[in-house]
Amino acid sequence: MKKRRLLQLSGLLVLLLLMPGLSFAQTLRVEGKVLDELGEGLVGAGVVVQGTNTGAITDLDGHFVLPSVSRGATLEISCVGYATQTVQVTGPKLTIQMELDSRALEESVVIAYGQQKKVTITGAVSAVSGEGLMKAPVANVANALQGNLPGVSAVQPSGMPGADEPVIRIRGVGSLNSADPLVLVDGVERSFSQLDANEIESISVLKDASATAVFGVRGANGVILVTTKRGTVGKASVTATVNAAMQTISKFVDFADSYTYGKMWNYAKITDSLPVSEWPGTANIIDYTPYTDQKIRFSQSVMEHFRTGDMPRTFPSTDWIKYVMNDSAWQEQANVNVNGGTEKVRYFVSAGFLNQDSLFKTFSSNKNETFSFQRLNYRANLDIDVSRWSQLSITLGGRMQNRNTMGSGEGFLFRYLQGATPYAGCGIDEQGRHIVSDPNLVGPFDRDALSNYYELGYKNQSTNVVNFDIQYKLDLGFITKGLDFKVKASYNSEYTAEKNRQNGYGTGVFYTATLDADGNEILRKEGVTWPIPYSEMKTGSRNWYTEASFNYNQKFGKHNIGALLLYNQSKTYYPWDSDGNIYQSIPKGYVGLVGRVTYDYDTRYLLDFNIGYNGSENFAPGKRYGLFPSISLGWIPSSEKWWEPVKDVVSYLKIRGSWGLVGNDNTNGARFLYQPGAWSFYTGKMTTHPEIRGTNFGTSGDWLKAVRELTSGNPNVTWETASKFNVGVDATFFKGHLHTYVDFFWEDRKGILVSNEDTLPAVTYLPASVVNEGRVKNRGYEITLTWEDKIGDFQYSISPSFSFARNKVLEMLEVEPMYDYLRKTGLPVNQRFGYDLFEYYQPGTEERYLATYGEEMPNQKIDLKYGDCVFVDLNGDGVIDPNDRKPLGYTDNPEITYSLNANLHWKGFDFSMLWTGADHVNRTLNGYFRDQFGSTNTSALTRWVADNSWTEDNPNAILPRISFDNRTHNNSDSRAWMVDSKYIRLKNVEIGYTFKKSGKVNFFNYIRVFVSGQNLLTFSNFDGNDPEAPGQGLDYGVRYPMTRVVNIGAQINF
Amino acid sequence: MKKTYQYILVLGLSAIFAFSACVDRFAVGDAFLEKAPGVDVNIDTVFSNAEYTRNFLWSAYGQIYCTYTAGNMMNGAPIDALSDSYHSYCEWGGVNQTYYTGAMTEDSQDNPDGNLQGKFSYGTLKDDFNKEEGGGRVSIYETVRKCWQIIENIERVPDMEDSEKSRLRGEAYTIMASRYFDAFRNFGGLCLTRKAFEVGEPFTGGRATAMQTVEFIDSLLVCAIQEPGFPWSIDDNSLGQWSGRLTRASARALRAKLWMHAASPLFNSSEPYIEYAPNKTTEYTDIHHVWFGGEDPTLWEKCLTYCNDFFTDNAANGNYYALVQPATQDEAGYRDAYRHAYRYRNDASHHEKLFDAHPTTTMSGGAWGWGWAGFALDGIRQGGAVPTNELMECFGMQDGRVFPYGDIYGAGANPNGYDMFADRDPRLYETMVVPRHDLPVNFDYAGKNYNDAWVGGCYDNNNNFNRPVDYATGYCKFKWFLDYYGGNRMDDAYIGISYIRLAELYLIRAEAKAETGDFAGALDDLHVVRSRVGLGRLETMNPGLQLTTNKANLINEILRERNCEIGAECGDRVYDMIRRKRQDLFTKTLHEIRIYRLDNAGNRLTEGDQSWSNGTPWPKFEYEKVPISSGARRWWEAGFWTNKWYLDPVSRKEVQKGYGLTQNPGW
Repeated sequence: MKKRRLLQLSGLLVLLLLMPGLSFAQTLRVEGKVLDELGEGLVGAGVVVQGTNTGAITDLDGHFVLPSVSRGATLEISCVGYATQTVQVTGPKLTIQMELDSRALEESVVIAYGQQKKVTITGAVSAVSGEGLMKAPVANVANALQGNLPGVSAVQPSGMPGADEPVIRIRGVGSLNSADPLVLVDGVERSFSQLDANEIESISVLKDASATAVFGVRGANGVILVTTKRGTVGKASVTATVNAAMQTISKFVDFADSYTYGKMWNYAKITDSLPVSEWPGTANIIDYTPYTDQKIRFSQSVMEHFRTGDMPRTFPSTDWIKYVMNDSAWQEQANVNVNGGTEKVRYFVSAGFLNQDSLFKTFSSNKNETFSFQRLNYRANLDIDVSRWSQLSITLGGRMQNRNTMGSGEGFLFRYLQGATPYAGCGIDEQGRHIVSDPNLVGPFDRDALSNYYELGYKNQSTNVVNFDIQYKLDLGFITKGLDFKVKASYNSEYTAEKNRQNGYGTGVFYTATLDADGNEILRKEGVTWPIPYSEMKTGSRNWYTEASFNYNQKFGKHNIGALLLYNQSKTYYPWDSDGNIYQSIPKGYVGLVGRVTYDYDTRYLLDFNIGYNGSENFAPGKRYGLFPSISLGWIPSSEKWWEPVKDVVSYLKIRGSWGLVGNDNTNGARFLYQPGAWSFYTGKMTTHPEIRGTNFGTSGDWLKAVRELTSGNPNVTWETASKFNVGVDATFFKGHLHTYVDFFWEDRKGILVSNEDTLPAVTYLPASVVNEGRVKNRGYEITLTWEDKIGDFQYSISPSFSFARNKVLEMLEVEPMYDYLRKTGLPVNQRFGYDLFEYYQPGTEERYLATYGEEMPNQKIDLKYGDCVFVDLNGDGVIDPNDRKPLGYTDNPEITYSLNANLHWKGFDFSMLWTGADHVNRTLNGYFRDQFGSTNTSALTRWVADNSWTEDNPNAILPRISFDNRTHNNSDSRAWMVDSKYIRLKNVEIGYTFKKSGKVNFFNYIRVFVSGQNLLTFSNFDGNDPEAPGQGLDYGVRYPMTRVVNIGAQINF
Repeated sequence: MKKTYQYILVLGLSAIFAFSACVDRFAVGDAFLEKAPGVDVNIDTVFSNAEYTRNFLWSAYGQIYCTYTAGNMMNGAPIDALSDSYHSYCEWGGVNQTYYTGAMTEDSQDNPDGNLQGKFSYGTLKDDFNKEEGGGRVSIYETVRKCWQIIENIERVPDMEDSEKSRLRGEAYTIMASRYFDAFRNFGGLCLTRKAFEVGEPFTGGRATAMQTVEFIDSLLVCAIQEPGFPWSIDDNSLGQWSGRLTRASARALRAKLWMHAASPLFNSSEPYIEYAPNKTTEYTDIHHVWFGGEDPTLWEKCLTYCNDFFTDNAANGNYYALVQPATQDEAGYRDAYRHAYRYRNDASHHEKLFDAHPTTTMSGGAWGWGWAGFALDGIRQGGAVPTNELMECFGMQDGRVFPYGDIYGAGANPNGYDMFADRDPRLYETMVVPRHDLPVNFDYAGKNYNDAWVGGCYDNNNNFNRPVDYATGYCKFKWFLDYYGGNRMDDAYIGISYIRLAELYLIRAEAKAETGDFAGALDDLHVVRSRVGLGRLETMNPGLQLTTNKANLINEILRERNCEIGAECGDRVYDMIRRKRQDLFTKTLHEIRIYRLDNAGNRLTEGDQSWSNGTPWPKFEYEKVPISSGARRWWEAGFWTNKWYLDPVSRKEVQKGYGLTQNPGW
């Protein structure tokens, strides 16, 4: 807690140190100690000789030393959360007792293009410190956001090393378009997820318009500001941290064994083939003989082998997940950083290393054939006082990373793990032979798990990222006090070299386990080994950013006035382009003009006015620029005199409100939306695609060149606007024990950039263009409470937080549906639709249907059998067709997220934990779960589906009967396939102990040892997979499992 | 002094930032954005240059309908398998999954799964995986838009002669008319677009009636015909380069075919082919979208007039177009002439093609696996279109008699062991593989001069020679394929897939004459086509049919002749069955054949290798006609058929867009 204050103060201190003015007089060395409200040393308090640049920061014990202070000088001691004090220097020793201000009132928060004292903030901004992020032992720092920032959700769809980016949403989804927030690191747009958490000073999330309007055309989805650490005056402070973590699978799909598989398969086939009256019953299915082996896949003898496991090589039952995945994998992280500086030069230098091992067993002699990720982060942030008036800052950060993926990569590997049926093979025997079953013996199968990657090579990607900023700040105090000028330039480059050493599926040697004519087990060698090929690919990207600004801050009595005028422009080379790369060679540019005026009177009445004026290349010159104003007001009644009587109960109260406009110019990366349609030449060829076939003539001629229309521009297209309204209350009760932060927001996004593809009449054959048509409303609230107290040596804080956001589509280009309930307009973005499941067909269904709906059970258009879905006829036409679908459940994006943060300190011990949860969220099961045996009926069956599908023994099942004949019907979208994926999760826990330096052992300032964990406990209704895993399973939707991490670490500072 | 130093520093640093940050020209404000350039190629580029303009027309040519590569509709399955002449044994494909199962619904058009689509695409549907391309499902309106763009913009092409502009306009009008005709055959009345629409410009025209649609297509063809630069034929000297470009003859021929379709009973009848069900009636429903509102015999006169216009124009141009005639009056000569007529493009000595599509160059198109044969005909190679016994019976005898062996099937029904495949219409042998004793010289099949395609014959014994599904009915398709395992016939010459060829013009005129009472004239026109393959006069050789007086029989014979002559070329058998409302043909169970070699005692040889040894006497046979059970069509079930199947459902999604499209009755 204290260290956090130190960190957050550093920025403020830099400002303080720059205050002009020097005085010289009789001097003495002053040593002092600053005590907190509990009488303990207060770490990180700033001590500044008033009117000078001279100052110091208290150390861990609250000590400070000022080598040369004139007697009678005034020291100003400040610390976030404490009332600033001034003390006259009367002698060489000083003890200063600080008093608690309302917590965090003086705390600075990084906002757009600057910092602001938390007390004067009138918008909706949340922040988390780097230290808070480090409690989560994750490789990707973006995955530490969840639960730490109310109103922000970060859902991680994959645990793959080096590719575990979360999907971040600020206040849910407010657009039909991308809802990805704008991310800036040190004021420049770049990714933060692969930064070393040790480099991060803080992360601010700007949620409302007053905070984001200055980002104009790009801020509509909220903005994440990441600030890296900078040096502070003092002798070099070295911090070294090592972490060693064990990753295990938190929860993953479990597949049925061979016997269960065979039983369910045969059951499905027999129930499909026989009338209900002749069904033998689940229990008798094994002994059911009227069917020849041709009709059921697994004969009695095969089933018997499966059941007894008497011939495990020829009739195997392999749990592939268990077989190919390790129980655990290591992850190591280390960081050394040095922080210090003189009054002239301050520095922060950091180097960090991360290594993540794979959860996959490679079985291969080639160590590269695995998933792995190594990352080396480095950073050197330098601030130099070039002169009394000017400061030069250099920010250099970068990373080198190396990522291996095996086989044909994550998507295919996990997709085809589903293809691995338990009887498809038994893996690798003691002699290193890859053994595959004989499909003629055990039944057809798609493949075994090893054939996807075993000896099929790997892909290696090494990436080098360099970010470089240089900033020059000139204090224009010589013109007027409080004015400064700043110019900044930034350059980012990324370079990736990919080595591809992959063989295709089915190119290796394997041994088929089969029986000879006498029934003896034999192995038959098949296939050939091909040398692993080699190819490489290099990709690069670079971009730059510049800004120039004037900043003014001055106090006139009780009037505080601030102003900012800033111009910026940026250019990205080789930008990603959804239009088939037709524009990729053209760099992408933005320009922006930012204005801000802040005013407060006595820190009681607060006013912020922001304006962003932005241009985007996506729109025609006349439609290009947008003006994005915002205004916010705040009032702190607790500062009023008449508040005094209630100050004991409510020591601090701030009421704030903001309104503003923010824009968005982006839709799926499409560019130059206003340009006339693009056309493209091609050469005719033999193809079944008449759109690109072209023609040839003559009796010996070649295919001719042809040209066609590709896109169609919309000259009137312009940015979409979000009108955002936010009302918040911050309050502190009971002498600082209880803090509350409450925000309500309303957002109205208009003119959303949507494609008119679905509404264009086919008869005009106009290529689709982007139009400003959609409108979405989003509203919600966030509540955070923090209670902190101290009982003896025992200090604790507990902080629950709750966020809710719900959106509604008011307009989208929707074709008028035939029935009102088919209408998507009026429902949340990405609302699911499906059939209304009445029940699974069984005796009496017709009567119950009649009793429930007063109508005959509709024609389901299938040969309905017990266990099949009976859907409700919504339009009353007597048959089930796509018009009988209706909105079902919630979307993938939770409406409710909540968290609980708890911190305890007792002497040297500290303990913290973070619980997170999500509600009002559903997943639709696909992939692994649906179709049950895969689309070719030869894939694996998940145990969850095997256990939960309807059979005569399991008439109250969640899922319908597995059927081949009625598969399309039973597997249609309905509530059967939708799971409630709400969860509560113990996201992080950390226990640490800090050794402070003592008289004898004093080479260090402190040593901290700690144990932490990630995703240790999860409570969820759905036990088939991790509740956060994507429900969709096709192709790349199937992802590396989420990991549970147990970490031990140590940190030393000297 | 110090201040000056500061300013210099600021300026200097600013300059450094500017240089370090950007390699290219530095600009601020709007200038910074302004330079983002436009697209490389836009409509102005295309019409700024004659060659680009031609290139654009070529992309429209690439969309001329060809049943074998009609995009990915029905997952590439050939539509012939919807007729009574071919059957699909291929489990995938829209023929089996959508039509045979009767599973087609009004949502089929919108289904991204090619197996569940109908035979013709209403709109261009882009699939999720390949947004760039339409997954082969190209709407006629894509071509129509191209054609309007050419017609509207060609005047501004700077470096093109007026005569060529006129020619390109003629081609564009003709292609557009053909695309509308394609959709008309499948959906009836259409939404008619009379221009290339601009961004943001709505279509409000609604659905035209069937007659308005016909007249609109006709007007496009008239525009084409009236283009002064639209030539009657391609100069013989430039055929090597330009064979297959459309001509005024293409437009005149299409005009005749359009009115033949229009005059047929599907639309031109005292009754609509089906009524809207009461619960489907909407404010838009108008039965005239699929019916002319009554029977108008003058439509056939129109058809006849346009046929005659064609022949008059041809005569005025030196009878440039003529049937390919046999070099010798024997089977080899007839077959060679017929093969040349249907298969290859016009060259200096062959001028039968009037309108053809070029989805490939040669049969393999230079790439076997993915070439035209390898891919477009893949559906056929996988049993997607296997000739039925009904098709075999369509072909009469070489002497001109219709198929005479009505009761030859079954045990003991052929006591003399006749070879029913001997002495037949030579086009039978060009259409399907049947047992043959002696193949003419150069007509060998996979190197053999005989065909023992019976039970136990070479097909059964040699899987490498042919695949079982290819002759699942007992017959194997020969038209287009020839013996694709035998030698280099795949690449012998450039292929033209007929949209219309001259032989059909005679058959259209025969039908128009028959409908307008000129039976003798009709029989003369029929004989022009039949005599090319040496057949005797139909009315003389089949007096029992009373063809000079019995109109119904005559029409039947014309349809049969159409199937023999132009079957499996442009899907015409299916459309003939539709326009003639031949529910009887759609609902009739189709048959396979089992050909048994008999031993000397007259017993069937069913076991083992029954291959014929060259030089031994040709055996005697018995024939068994077996109802098709694999992929049996629901249409064959009593009570399943309704006339809604004559026209396909349009896209429900398009109907819902509210621009006036209506769903076809019954769907």
